[in-house]
Amino acid sequence: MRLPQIHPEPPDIDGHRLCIERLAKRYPGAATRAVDEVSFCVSAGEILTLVGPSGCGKTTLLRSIAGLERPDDGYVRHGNTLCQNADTFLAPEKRGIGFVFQDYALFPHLSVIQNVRFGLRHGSKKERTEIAREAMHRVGLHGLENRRVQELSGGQQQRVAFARALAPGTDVLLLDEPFSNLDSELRIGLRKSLQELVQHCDLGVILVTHDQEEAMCIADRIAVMRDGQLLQVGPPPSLYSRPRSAFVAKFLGNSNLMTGQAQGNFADTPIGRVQIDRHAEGPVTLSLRPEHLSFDMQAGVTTPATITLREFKGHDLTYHVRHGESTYLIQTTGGSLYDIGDAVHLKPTSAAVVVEDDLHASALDQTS
Amino acid sequence: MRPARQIILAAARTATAAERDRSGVKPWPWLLSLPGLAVAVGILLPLSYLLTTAIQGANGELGDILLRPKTLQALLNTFGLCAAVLASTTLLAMPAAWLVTRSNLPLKWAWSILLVLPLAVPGYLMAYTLLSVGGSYGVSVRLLEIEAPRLTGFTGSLVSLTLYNFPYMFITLRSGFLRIDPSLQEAARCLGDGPWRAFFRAELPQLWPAFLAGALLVVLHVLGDFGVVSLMRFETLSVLLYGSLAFEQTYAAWVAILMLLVAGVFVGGEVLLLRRRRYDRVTPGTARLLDPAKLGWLRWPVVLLLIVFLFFAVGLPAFSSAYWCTQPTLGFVTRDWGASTAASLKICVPAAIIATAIALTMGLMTQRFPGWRSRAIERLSYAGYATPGLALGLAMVGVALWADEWLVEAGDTLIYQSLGLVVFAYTLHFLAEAIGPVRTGLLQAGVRMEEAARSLGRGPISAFFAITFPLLRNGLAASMALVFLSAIKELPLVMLLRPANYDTLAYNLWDLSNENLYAEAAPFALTILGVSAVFVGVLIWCERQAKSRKMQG
Repeated sequence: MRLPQIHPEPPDIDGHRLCIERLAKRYPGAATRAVDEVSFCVSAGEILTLVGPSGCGKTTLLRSIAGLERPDDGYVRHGNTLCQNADTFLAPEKRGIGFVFQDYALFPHLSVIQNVRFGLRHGSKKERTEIAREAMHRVGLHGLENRRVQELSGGQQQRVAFARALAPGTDVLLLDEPFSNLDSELRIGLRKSLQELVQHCDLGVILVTHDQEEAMCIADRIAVMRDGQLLQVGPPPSLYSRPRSAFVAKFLGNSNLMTGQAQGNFADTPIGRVQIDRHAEGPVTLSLRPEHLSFDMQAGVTTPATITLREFKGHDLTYHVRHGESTYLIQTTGGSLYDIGDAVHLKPTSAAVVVEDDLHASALDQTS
Repeated sequence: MRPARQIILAAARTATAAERDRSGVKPWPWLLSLPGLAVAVGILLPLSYLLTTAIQGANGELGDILLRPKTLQALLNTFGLCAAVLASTTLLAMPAAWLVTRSNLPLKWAWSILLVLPLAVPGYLMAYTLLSVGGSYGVSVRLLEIEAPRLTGFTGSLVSLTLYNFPYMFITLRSGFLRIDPSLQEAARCLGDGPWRAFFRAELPQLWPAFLAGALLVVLHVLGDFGVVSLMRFETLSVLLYGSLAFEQTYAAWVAILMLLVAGVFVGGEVLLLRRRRYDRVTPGTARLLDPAKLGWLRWPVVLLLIVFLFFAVGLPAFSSAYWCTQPTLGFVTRDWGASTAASLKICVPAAIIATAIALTMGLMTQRFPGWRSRAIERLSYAGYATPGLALGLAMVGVALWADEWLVEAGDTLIYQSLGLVVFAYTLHFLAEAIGPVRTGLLQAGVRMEEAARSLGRGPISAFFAITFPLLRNGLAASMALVFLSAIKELPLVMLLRPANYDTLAYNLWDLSNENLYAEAAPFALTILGVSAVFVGVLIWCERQAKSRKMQG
């Protein structure tokens, strides 16, 4: 099966489908930038997910790339089409970038096939229908051509939105929370078909989501955003195991954050002396994943902690443990069961990660 | 505001769905449905009486009656005028609605209000203005010594009816524009359409239901109009009907039936055109606001055009009526201003109150006892609105005379030419206008809170008046204002049904204008204008209140 393409040869000069550099956007009247000098590139066959809390500017960033918002500054290139720089702003219709809206934005006055055909303008109606039909097959839609979009289920509407964005032969797809209106079972299926689609069609995809779990399981690379800024970009495992800052550590999964005094490869913390992932001296902030914390059968050097809560989740078990002023999370996959109120000693099973403390800094920002 | 509104609408929808599930167990509320049934009888009885007398009177010569050249000419004129007014209101209202919803026109909210003001200027008042401004004795010669053209006939009717009907199209198109999901336009842009192409391919089709709703209102008003076409001497079906009333009752009845058929064609056409497709939003996502289109230097010419339009639609009628008020009258015709104002109020106030009360019972009936019976009764009230005034009036006259034959001695009348009949006819004709706001209010109030009151020990009536009724106040006020506004302007019904020498404001204005007694007509014109303007203001206020309440919700 052939997918319609505008460019017979993907014009990848440096191997990237889409590049943005120092993109910045401030809404009129706003004190801070919604998007603050963000740079990254997306390659063919890659899914980059943009994650961040709501209001962090990820949707604005996505819309700026598509040309739906006009950024104040920065550079956007799609293939060898310059979409934006200091003195160019290409209208969205001239960018050839596909966009799938959160609410799909299907045209209610058109049938399914008319929706998918909407972006095709060359060739006879028969040819355009044929191309649209191929795009529909790509996304796994069969025999719904003449249905009205209102008659479709949420998942089917989602697929129509994909097909419509793909039909003109775009090689870059921007997805704004594409799975947020669907139930969890449907999400998993659609995620899988998206991944297959990206591989088959060699697409470059940027996907916006606020769901960190979704981001981690679908992405080739994750970009974490906060307050308009890009904090860290990288493959999910490396972001998870080596978060650069406390915020990233907290946002991608649970984390025990603590302060300590570093001396070489060790640091003294409230739970005792722990190994750290790099050489450091002086006060540091450390992140330790709950699965990297466990119980010490022997009494440690510190005072014992108390179990305050137990969450049984089937394959694993999470304990909330109170020690001094802080609560720690410990994730275990079995072993002896403790009860609430039991006194325990804590023991890290892996090196803690030294992170930048951007959580307290922002807390200070808010109070000042 | 939008999410809140969607929540309210969604809540209303689920509430009605839940009510539908339970409706099977509830017995039909005969007491509650009595007013609605009375309305149904009140509409069906006169119309069927009209039909039977017309068939009896025709004596098998129906072809001769209907196929007269003047019938066909009048039919043609009516259709032509409807089409022309529809086209011109659309051409004016479409850009205006776009400007106040989608552009960066300065003071958009003020324009949204100002452009509704022509509602206060009924068509015949506009006709009176056009006739008394132009020509060699007109205002323009008297004041500026320039002879403005005196518009009459088709052109005069077209201009008067366009200016009067503009707000109906404007309001529906404006809310149509506000309902379009802005991401449709963005989706079209991302699929390669330029701004204009995206507008025509993705957005304009979404306006179709709003346009059809507005179009139906406009053509029904043009069909039902008598004041404008009679003053402008343009022979449409209503002029023909009125003209033949004195000499050929059977012919008049057949013309009335013809008008009813035309109204039926319009209503049926709308239903057919609308049924083909559904246009509601596919998914109820939160719509973001589109960046308004930048007009640039064009904004000033646009503002100027709007001012010119408003001058002709509102300023000129007000100014020319005021001018004629200062002019000496000829003196041989005197009409009492006070008596005629009282006459109007004596019809309009009861009609507004009764129509709103009936609308409330019908709203409760359709909300709480949904089913074919409620639907049928509600549809009939819309039929009362769609029926052209003269046809309804004629049918009422017939049935009143027939009833009087039974009730009182020959030569005496009880129902015919009674004030009660006029009020009843007004109520039937304008009931549909009262239904909308009441129903919206009921849907927003829902039934949950009332059920909570029931569970706290209140009886059904006490719960309704303690909980739902206070929430309905705005809706009821809007309903009354709408009916009152239409009633004070109403002409054809009062012409056929009024008691002898019972001259309302509208009748005096029309009658005196018809005799070219512009100075004599002026006080009545000014009164209608002033009262209508106040009620348009009340309506806008009611809408703003409802909106701010929604925002709080």
